[in-house]
Amino acid sequence: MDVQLKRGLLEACVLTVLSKEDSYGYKIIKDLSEHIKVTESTLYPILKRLETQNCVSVYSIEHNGRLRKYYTIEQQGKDKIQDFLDDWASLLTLHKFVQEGANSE
Amino acid sequence: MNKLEYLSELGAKLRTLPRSELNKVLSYYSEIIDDRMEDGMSEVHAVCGLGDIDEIAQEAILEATPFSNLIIPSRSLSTVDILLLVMSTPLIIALFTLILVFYAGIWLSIIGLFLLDLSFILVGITGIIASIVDFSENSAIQILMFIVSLIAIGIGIFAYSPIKVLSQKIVGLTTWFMRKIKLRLFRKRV
Repeated sequence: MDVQLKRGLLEACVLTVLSKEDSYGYKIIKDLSEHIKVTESTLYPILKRLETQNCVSVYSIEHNGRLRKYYTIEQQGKDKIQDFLDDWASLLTLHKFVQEGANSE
Repeated sequence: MNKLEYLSELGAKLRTLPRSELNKVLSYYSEIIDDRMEDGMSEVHAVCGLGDIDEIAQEAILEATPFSNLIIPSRSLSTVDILLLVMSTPLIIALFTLILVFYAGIWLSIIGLFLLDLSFILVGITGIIASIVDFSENSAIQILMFIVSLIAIGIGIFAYSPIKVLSQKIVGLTTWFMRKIKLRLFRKRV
């Protein structure tokens, strides 16, 4: 799959996980593993980017004597999910157009 | 390899990062290892499952290092470096101009597409107003103008989403391109 497309997809997937409940790195990976393969090293830059874009915010909670970072979705993150859905609708229209062109050959 | 060894090796590979960024990366991986162990994995399994440490370090450095830091040398320039730099100035200027033209071209195309879309909508709105408040006696022309204006607005509205997707794709491609260059510069430096 195209790298940029996969990156955009992963961002939307991470935001979707966070739209259900606040979560932390390991749990996000586990929740996503049923739908798309994502590694720890892939997730780190995605979370960092989303944080820089103010799509998510971070807070820490003490857990078993250590601090665990939780990510929570912000309004900009919710807007990003909506943008993704809107874009996807346009992409599907374009996909249909390209497929019809390919089928008619 | 246990957690401590893994984190100290990762820390060594990330030594070029600013201290705050280094701590963020290390605390992220430390937390992941702890969570994996809490999930029932052994320490060795939790650490090994993270993948190639070199790739992790490269990804973290690429993400955290600004483009300029990869171009500007970290050491001071020698006389030979300065001489070479002076001699290659025309080439550097030409190269930067080329990049600037390329970037300006991309952005102007995007702006142009949006302006074209906007013009369809504006022409449509103006056409509808003109057809309603028309001064000519010819009602056939008025109706034709009204229909054409509606079509223009329709084109403007329907073309907006594909243009937006196309623009994002172009911006995405430039980001991908910059990342590729960054990766090359980074590998050259390492």
